[in-house]
Amino acid sequence: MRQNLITLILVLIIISLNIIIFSSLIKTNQPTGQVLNMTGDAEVRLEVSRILAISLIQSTINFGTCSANLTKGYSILDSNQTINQVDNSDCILGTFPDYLIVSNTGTVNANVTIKVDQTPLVFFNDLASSFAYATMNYSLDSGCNGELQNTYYTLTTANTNHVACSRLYPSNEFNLSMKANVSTNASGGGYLSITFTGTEAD
Amino acid sequence: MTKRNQNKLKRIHIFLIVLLICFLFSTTFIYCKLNLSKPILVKTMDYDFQIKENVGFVLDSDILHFGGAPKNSELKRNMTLTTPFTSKVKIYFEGPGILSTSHNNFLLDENQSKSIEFILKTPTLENGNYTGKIIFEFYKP
Repeated sequence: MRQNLITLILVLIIISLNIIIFSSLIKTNQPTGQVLNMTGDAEVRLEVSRILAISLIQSTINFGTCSANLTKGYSILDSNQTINQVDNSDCILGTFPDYLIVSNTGTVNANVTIKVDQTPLVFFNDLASSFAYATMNYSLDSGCNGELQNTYYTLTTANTNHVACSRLYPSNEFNLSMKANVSTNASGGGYLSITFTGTEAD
Repeated sequence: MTKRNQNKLKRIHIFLIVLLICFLFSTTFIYCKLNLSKPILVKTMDYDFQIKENVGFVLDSDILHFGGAPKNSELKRNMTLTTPFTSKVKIYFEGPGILSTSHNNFLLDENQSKSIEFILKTPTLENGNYTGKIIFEFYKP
């Protein structure tokens, strides 16, 4: 009898322990953002760096489907028709946005650089063809307050950062134009990806 | 009590003890399984971006701002994660755009920092403002 009683008590103790463990599990298994151990929630740090890269992959500046001018041996295509008054008559079916606006819509000053993902040689399969970029203050807004690339700069290397605007204050903007010189020997085609990288400026 | 009854009682005792041991083992196993598959901590951070015709920079670091760009663009931003305890970190996303990260499901040692790059692709979204959430789950290693 005594042995039976001891066994029964043992069974009851273990069952009670299990019930307690499972009750605590059911309580703590709910999705929660609170700290469930002794480590301290406040010490987990998520710090966002003040660097942002924006890559334009497709069709933002479309020069259309072009035939190079056989008389000249090349065609110059400029995305900025309004300001530069370049005749893009060699190119058909293009949509020309004139220039691309790059703005600072945050509250932190930005230093903006630009790079491309291909060299002209790879893009055009031709040594005589090239592309270039320029950044200018066209709009009535305050514009770029630092260094600009305000004449066309020919890009010869891929994945190298070049100055676009060294200090762009919040609510200000500058404008990007692209120009391509396509010779009659150029072939291929496709998309050139442009990447803007913004870092915190003074 | 007869010898036969004593034997019967003994068998019952043995059976009960074996049953108890099995119960104890299974409970411990389930407890461990549940406890390890449950995050010890969950943290979230919001992200936002804008689809528009031009490019817009937002370098503020209160949340993960991806700025603004035309659709079919790729936006990248970095974050540094530091924890005061060793844990396995899993990252999930809730929201628009195709968001991926340079690291996921990784072990982070106590007081170690890890830089994580978040890449947002916006292939099919129309012009507008978008917001989402990044969820960090911390597990016992």
